[in-house]
Amino acid sequence: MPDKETLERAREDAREGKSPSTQAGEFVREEMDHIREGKHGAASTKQAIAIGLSKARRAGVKLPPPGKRKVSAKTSAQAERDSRKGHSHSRRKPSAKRSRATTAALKKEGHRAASRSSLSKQARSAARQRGSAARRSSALKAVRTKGARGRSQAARKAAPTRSRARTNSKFMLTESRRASDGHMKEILLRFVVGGAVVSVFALLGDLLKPKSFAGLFGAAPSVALATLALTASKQGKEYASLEARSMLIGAVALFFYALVVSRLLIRRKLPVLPVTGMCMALWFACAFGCWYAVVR
Amino acid sequence: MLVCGGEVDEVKVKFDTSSLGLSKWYEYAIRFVFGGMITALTGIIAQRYGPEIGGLFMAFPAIFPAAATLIEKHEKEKRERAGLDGTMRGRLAAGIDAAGAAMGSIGLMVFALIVWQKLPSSSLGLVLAGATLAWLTASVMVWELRETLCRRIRARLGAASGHRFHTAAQRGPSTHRRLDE
Repeated sequence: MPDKETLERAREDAREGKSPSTQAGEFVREEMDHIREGKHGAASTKQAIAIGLSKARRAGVKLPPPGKRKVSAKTSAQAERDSRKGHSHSRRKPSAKRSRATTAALKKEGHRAASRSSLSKQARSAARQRGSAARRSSALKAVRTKGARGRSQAARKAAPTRSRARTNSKFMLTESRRASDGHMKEILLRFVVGGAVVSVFALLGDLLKPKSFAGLFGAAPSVALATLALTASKQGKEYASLEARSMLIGAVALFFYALVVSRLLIRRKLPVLPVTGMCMALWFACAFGCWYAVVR
Repeated sequence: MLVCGGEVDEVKVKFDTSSLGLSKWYEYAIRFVFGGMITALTGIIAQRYGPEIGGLFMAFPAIFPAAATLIEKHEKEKRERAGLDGTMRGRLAAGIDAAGAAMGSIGLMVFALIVWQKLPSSSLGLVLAGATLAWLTASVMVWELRETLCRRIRARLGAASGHRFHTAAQRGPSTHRRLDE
C-alpha cells in the first residue's frame, strides 16, 4: 500500500490538472525515498520505477498501458491487471503474507538503485531509447503546459546545470574524484594481476631456446588474460568479447610493429631502445587506423 | 659449410635455466611494473573511452622495449666476458626476439578471435584456457613453418650455387642458430 502522503500528493496533482505521468511520478518518488531511507532495496532502478508505476495504477492513476510493441506480453498484461485493480471498487485487503514476502525479497536487494548515478544512468538510457523526436515532442508539451512561471523556474534550474556542464569545473571534478576513489582498488588489482601474469610469461620466454622461439612469448596474451578475466567477471562477458574484437586489431598492429622492429635490428643493426620506442608510433598509427577503418 | 645439410639445420626447442642466472632482481621488477601498468591502463582506457578502444591495448607492446633491452644487455655481457665487443650481437639477438614476437602475434590474433566469438556463449575459464592453448599452438605452428621454409630455401640455394648459399647462410636464419648455440 502506498503511503497516505503519496496518495495525497497524487490527488493534488490530479486536481491541478497534471498528467497521469506526473501523478504516477509521486509513487515512483515514494519508492526512491523508501530505498534511500533503507526501508527496502531494489534489484535495479528499472525495477524500482516499475514498482512505483504498478502502485500508481493500483491506486487508480489513469496511466495508459505501455505500447504493445515496446514491452513483453508479460509486462503489458501486468500493467492491465494493475489498471483493472485500480478501477475496481473491491474492498479486499492486500494479502498480508504476500506483502511480507515481497518486502522481505526487496530487503535483500541493495540500495544503489536509488543513487544519483543510477538514476541518471536510467534516465539517460531511457531518453536514448525514446529517440530525439519523442524527446522533442515532450519538451514542446512541457513548454505548452508549464505556464509562464513553470517555464521560468525550469529555465532557472537549467541555466546553472548547463553552465556547470560547459565549464566542466568543480562539479565534474568532484564527481570524477569520487568515481576514481571507488575504482582505485580495482586499478590496483589490475596492476597486481597484470604484473604477475606478464612476469610468468616473460619468465617462460627466458627459459626457452632458441631466441626466435622464445620471442613468441613476447607476444603472449598476458595483459589480455589478466584484463579479460577481470573484465568478464566485473562488466560481463559481452563487454569482454567486445574488447577481444578490438584486441584482434591490436594484434595486427603488433604484428607489423614486431616485423618492422626485427627488420631494423637485424638488417640495420640500429640501437634497441630507440627503435623499439619509436616504433610505438607505428603501433598507434596502425591500431587506430585499422580501428577507424573497421569500426566506421 | 658449403654442403650444409638438413640434419645440421634441425633446431631443437629446449629449456635452458642458465639464462636465469643472468637476470637480476630488478629486471624482473621492471617487467612486473610495466606489465602491471599497461594492464591497469587498459582498464582505465576501457572505462573512459569504451571497450572498443580499451581492447586495442591488450595487444600493446608495452613491455617490449624493456624486454628487448634486457636481451641485448645479456647477449652483450656474454660476448664481453669472452673479450669481444657485443654491441652488434646484442642488437641481432633483440631483432631475432622481435621476429619471434611477430610470429607470436599471429597466434595472438587467433586468441582474440576465439575470445571474441566464443566468450558470450561459453564459460570464462574454458574460453580463456582454450584461447591460450590456441595461441600457443598457432604460434608454434607458424614458427615451425618458418623454420621448415628457411631450411628448404637454404638447402635449395645450397644445391643451386655454393656462393649464393654462402651469403644466404650468413644473413639468413642460420645466423640465428649460431647465435643460439
